Amino acid sequence: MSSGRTAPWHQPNWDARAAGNFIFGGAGTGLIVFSALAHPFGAAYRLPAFIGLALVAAGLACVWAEIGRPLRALNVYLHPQTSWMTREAMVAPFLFASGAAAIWTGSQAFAWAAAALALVYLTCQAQMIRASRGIPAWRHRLVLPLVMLTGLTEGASVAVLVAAATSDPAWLKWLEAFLLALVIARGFAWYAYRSGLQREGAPVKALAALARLEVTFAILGNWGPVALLIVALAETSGATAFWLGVASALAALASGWLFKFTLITRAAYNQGFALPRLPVRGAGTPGPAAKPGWH
Amino acid sequence: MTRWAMAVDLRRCVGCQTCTTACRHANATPPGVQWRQVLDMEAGEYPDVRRAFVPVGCMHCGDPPCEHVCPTTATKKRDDGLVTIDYELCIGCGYCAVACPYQARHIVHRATFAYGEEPTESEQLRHDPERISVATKCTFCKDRIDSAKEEGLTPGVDPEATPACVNACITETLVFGDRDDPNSNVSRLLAETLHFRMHEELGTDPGMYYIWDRKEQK
Repeated sequence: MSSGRTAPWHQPNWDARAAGNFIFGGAGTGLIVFSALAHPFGAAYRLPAFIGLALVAAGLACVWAEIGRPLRALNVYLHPQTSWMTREAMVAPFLFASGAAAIWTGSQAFAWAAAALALVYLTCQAQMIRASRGIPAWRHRLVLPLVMLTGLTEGASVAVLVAAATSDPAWLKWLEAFLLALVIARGFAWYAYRSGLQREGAPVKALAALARLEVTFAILGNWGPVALLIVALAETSGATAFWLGVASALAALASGWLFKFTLITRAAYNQGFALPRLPVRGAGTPGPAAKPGWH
Repeated sequence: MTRWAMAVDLRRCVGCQTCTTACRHANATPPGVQWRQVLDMEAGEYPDVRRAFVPVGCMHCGDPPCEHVCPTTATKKRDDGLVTIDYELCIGCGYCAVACPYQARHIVHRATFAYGEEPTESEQLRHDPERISVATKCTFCKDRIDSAKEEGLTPGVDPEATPACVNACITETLVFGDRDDPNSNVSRLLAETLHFRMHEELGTDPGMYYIWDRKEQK
């Protein structure tokens, strides 16, 4: 069709380190939210909240490792008017402060504050992706609910795993119910996003990269856990419910991370170049539009 | 007001890449980084195949996505329409690069030279360490534009005040001027031709206009 780089090619600027910010940040903030939700009912707060903050910190460390001039990192605070990256960075210290205060004092008020800030942080991350107008698979409006639901699902998954690992099974069923609702919502958000992209147009290679997630993310990582969680919630045997819950959480968590890794490092084909009309040459007539590499 | 803009007459471009070379010479960009490049696009099926040479680069958008997302304010849009980068503020996060629908931004993390590891004498003289690990792109040769007022020159008319790619173009494909001035060479050319702007549907208000036919024919 065309020579040279005219069809969309994969963006070279954000790699696995950038994906790490969304992977760890999403799971961490989701976990902080669920830690606060479960705490009033007697579930442990300190350990899951600490893990949540550690995950968010790991995500930020990934970003720091990605930027070209890490010693200038504080310049990131200079543009809150329009930049979601600045806003994410501005929320972070308050999130860490309130989370640390909640862990230190056991105050429910601080826990709620941390949960609210975690939600804002997650929103900033999702908006950050959506604001990238150069990447069709990112700028689609439905990426917003999908990334947010993915983060919350990962948080609920880690909450289930922490509750299981710390012999805190009292809240396991509640957390499993939350997780079930979230994976169902995430599944619908995934299909809405993919069909929206197909309907409105996207680079062929981006669609192909997302299509390759159908088995690992949608079937094994999403609808598989839905089935397992339904059985777990209906199961009266504690041991069976426990292990089904753990398996579901692991699958939902791993698939969520795989989705975000793919979104950032495999499906991020740029806009490419296009001409709505080809020019008249000499005494000829103008030619049709050219938009190589698009669905 | 002034809005510096560029018209690209696609009917004229022969794909010689002189603009690319002139830009690289004027701006000392490293190997692999072309602030101005010329695409070779084909469309259609045999025997009705069309070919067009398409100069691209930063479009100096009126609503630049790169400026919105930049967390440091390193990227700014000036009142005269030029989109600029402050290399001292930029942290090289790459967010502007993924926000740009024109693939116009480049980040290189180590100095590279045309002939091996060592710079040539010219490269050594012009190497700018400030440009390592930060975003760079076409500036419309803003230094020339900025000095035009002091020197009583008109960008797009006087070569000393005109972007290097425009000066170098052998077919007068590239025309530079003030889009807000109805008497500028760009405005007059666009008034008599049919043109479009690339990816206009994304709402970026790009400052490069692609001419594809004469107006009288339609």
